[in-house]
Amino acid sequence: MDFSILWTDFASLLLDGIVVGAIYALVSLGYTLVYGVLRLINFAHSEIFMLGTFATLGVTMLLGFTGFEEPLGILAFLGVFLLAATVAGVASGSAAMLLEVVAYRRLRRNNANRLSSLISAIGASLFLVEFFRIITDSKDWDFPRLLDKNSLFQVGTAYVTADKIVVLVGAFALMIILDRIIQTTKLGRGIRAVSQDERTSILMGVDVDRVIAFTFLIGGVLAGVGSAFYMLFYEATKFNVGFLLGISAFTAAVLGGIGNIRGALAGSFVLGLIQQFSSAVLGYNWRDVVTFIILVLVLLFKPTGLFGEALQRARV
Amino acid sequence: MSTPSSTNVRFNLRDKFGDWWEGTTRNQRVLFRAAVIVFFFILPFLDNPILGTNESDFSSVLFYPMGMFVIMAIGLNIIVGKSGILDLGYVAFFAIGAYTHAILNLNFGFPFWINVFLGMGFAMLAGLMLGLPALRLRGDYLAIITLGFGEIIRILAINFNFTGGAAGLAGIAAPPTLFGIEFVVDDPKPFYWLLLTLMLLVIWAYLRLVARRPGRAWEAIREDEDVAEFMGVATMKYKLWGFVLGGAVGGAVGAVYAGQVTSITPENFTLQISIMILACVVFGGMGNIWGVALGAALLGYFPEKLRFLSDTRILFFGLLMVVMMNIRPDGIIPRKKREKVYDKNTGQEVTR
Amino acid sequence: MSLVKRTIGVAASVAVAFATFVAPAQAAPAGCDGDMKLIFQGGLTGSAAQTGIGEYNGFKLAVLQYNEKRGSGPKVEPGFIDTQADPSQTPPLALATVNDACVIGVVGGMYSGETRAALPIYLKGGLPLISPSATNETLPAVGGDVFHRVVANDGVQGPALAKLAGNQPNAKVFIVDDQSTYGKDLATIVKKTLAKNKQVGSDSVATGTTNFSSVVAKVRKAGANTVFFGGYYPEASKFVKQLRDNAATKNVKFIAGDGVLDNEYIKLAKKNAEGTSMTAPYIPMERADKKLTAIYKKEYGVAPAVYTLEAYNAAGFFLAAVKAGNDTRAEILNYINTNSYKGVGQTLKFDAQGEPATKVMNEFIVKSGKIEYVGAIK
Repeated sequence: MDFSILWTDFASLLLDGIVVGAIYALVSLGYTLVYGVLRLINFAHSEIFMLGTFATLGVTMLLGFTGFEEPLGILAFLGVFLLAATVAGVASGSAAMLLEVVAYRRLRRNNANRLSSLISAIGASLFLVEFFRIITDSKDWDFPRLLDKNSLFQVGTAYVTADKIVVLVGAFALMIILDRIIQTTKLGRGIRAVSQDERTSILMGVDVDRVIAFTFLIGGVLAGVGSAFYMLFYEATKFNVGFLLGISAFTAAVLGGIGNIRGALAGSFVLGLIQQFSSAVLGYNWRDVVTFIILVLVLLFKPTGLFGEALQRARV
Repeated sequence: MSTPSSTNVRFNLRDKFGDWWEGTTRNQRVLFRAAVIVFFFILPFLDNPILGTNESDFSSVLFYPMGMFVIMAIGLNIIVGKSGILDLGYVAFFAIGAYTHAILNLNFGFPFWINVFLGMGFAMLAGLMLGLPALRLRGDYLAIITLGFGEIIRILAINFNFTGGAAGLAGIAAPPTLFGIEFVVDDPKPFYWLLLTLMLLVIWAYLRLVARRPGRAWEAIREDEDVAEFMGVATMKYKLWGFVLGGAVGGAVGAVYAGQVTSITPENFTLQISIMILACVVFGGMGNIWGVALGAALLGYFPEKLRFLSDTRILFFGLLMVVMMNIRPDGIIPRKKREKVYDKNTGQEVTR
Repeated sequence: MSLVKRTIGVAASVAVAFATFVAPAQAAPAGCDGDMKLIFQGGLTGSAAQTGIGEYNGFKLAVLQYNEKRGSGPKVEPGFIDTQADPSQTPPLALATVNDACVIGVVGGMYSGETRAALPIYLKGGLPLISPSATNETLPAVGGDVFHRVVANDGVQGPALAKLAGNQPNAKVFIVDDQSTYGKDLATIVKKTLAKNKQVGSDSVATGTTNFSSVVAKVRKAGANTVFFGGYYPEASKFVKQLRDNAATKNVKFIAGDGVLDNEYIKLAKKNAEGTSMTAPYIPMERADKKLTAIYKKEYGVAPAVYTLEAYNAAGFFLAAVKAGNDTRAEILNYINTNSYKGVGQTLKFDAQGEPATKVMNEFIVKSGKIEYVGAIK
């Protein structure tokens, strides 16, 4: 145990924690949005993310990158990355909508138990993982280095690199766009209405099916674009990449108060930092233990997460 | 959840059987029970290409995953199906039971039978320690806490020396010879019978329990916790009891499992098992012990039966789960819903 | 409720049931009246599938080549049991394998956990096993005389790695493992054998870790000039990348065991892999036999993975035993225990524990995007 690393390497741990938190945030938003409208843990959401990583990879492969080129110039990079992120967003978004139709819609129409949807989602998740395992030869796939990762400038022990800046700026831009969509557009109002009271919103003329499809679309797009950032940052993927990330993102959503968009954002950054600092101090192997204990403590004092649920309704 | 489900009006195994059961005499019932029990005891001998699992040994599959899944699903059903606590870390209890037998046997030479009870005890203790703070939470907050708990037990097992670390523990003792039946590693039948006996005990205890006050309390909590509390049900107490008793079942079978496989590693106790057991409960019909048992047996059975698909078997297994949940959202044999509903055409009160 | 819906529901259930139960029935004769079977045990689906499929392909190739050239020798049928590298799924499969009288040997298991779960059952059935890749030290104690392995165990590789890490002047070694049985054991042995004043810190990540930044920070803080990683190449490639991307740690020497010795490692880590030192008790297939590698690539459309060659050679030993006229488990077990087999790139010979008799430990280094053989570590 070495507490001195807390101050000697504070800057680098902080920066990396925030970058990881930003990626968690884009994924945890999908969990929290779907939970908000459906009261349902979208268990297959992590696979939507996984699909996005492969879509991103697919774009660069089609463009002919082998991974051994020199990094791109800034304009070329932006072009390639925007294309890859768009394709990943579209792929994940449509996959999420398809998932809703196949795995959830019928159950929802039948007023089935929430847990039935959970099991359906687990089934869908198993299917997607195995499907991608088979078509990707069970391999780890590498992603070309698109951007020079040499340090631009240094703050304390933290080396600020271009990819970290791209991830942070991109993620924050997306969060602001999402916030605007939810707050100002008609469908955004629909999402908020359905989260508060589905029946009343039906009475008020909200097309619930459309709102739900739209929610899945947004969650999927965010996860897809998030996966492009993930690929830029980690430069590798595998068919089971979603599992661990999904658990972290879901934990972040719960930590912040599931169903609450701002809570999910805050929870993601808090979780990213907790993981970063606890693994530096105690060792990576105790990271999840620390996270768990903090989660229990937070929930003991704030039973609906740091920011509370958007909707204060008791539910079983 | 409280809205009446239109799905259980359809073809309903439970009601067909229930009607028939109502009409039987006492002797017929005894005979039926005996026949069912005998059938399950001779099941390992009914291995044939149609029923058996061709690529894996049938009696071994009957022990794990099928038998283990069934008994764990029954245990988890007390937690999820009866008291409505979403537990995503049930494997923790299983792991505690298994490690109890392994550690106490290897280090102190404790015999199997004592360890079964100790495993049960430690699992209950863990359930109590987790339950006291965690059961104040509801729904999905509890789900993530229990999920974390399951993972923590596994991580601790990797990181401590007395649990053998990542390599786990080997050379764990099998149960001693009982009534002339030897428990050996290459014959899982005695273990299966042992498990079956344990299963009958658990089912018996469960049925006694749910027919009485705790059962009614659990159902009240599951349907609406606030109302239950308002009506004077000590919700915390009964939830804790449900959690601890469900954990006890997991602990006991964990010890049995360690005794059969003789070596355990943290890899045996992954989150995937918790998820599978939960899937068993919901797949079969949450809250209905017969449905849960059937669902668990099937979910244990399918991946082994589907082995002829080799590379794509888990793919089809996933698909099967989606399709089955869509066809029968309340499970194969749903529980009987107690709430009264008025038929919209006749205005008559009907019980569904 | 409409009748149509009900009918569809029932029909679907029936279809599922039908599809499930009408599995191809296997003839299971009391004795064996079919061909002899050699079984591969490993994870062919699930997260460890890549290594498993590579090993299985190597195994299958050996049997295929044998059957083509066997002449008047008995035919051997290759089979597999897919454990998903999961010890809990293993016992039913192992028992079915033992109960199949046609099975004369097992190549596998892939990882130590599943191997240990199966060994007591094989031991009872007297079924010989040669594992291409299970390196845990405790396995011979569980497996008795049926257990053999191609590669030297962690107890041999660990000290070699410690030597490699410690023999540079003023080495400051940071030790990381991935908490797998393989990686953690290796790291533990390195910690034990490497001089304490050369160790500056350690950490344990998990299989599937992507974010190594906290570990990198610790390496920086400890002032290490050498990092040892006990684990497999997917994590190693991410780790080494993140070390090289950080200006403070970009020049550390990266050392790993045979779990990283794979061309995939270079493919994933690219130029960051440059200079990585690795030890292995064998020579990879690409190095050992170019022609065989070409045949392999043509047959399966992919490059050989880790331990592919080991599986190929393990199967080769069994097939040599069959060729020599042995056809029962006991005879084959005896043959394996008493003879040696010259495989591709390595000679298999087992001591009383089932460990390889000659414990060669080779050093490799990544140079200009290729794995180069440096020499044996003495």
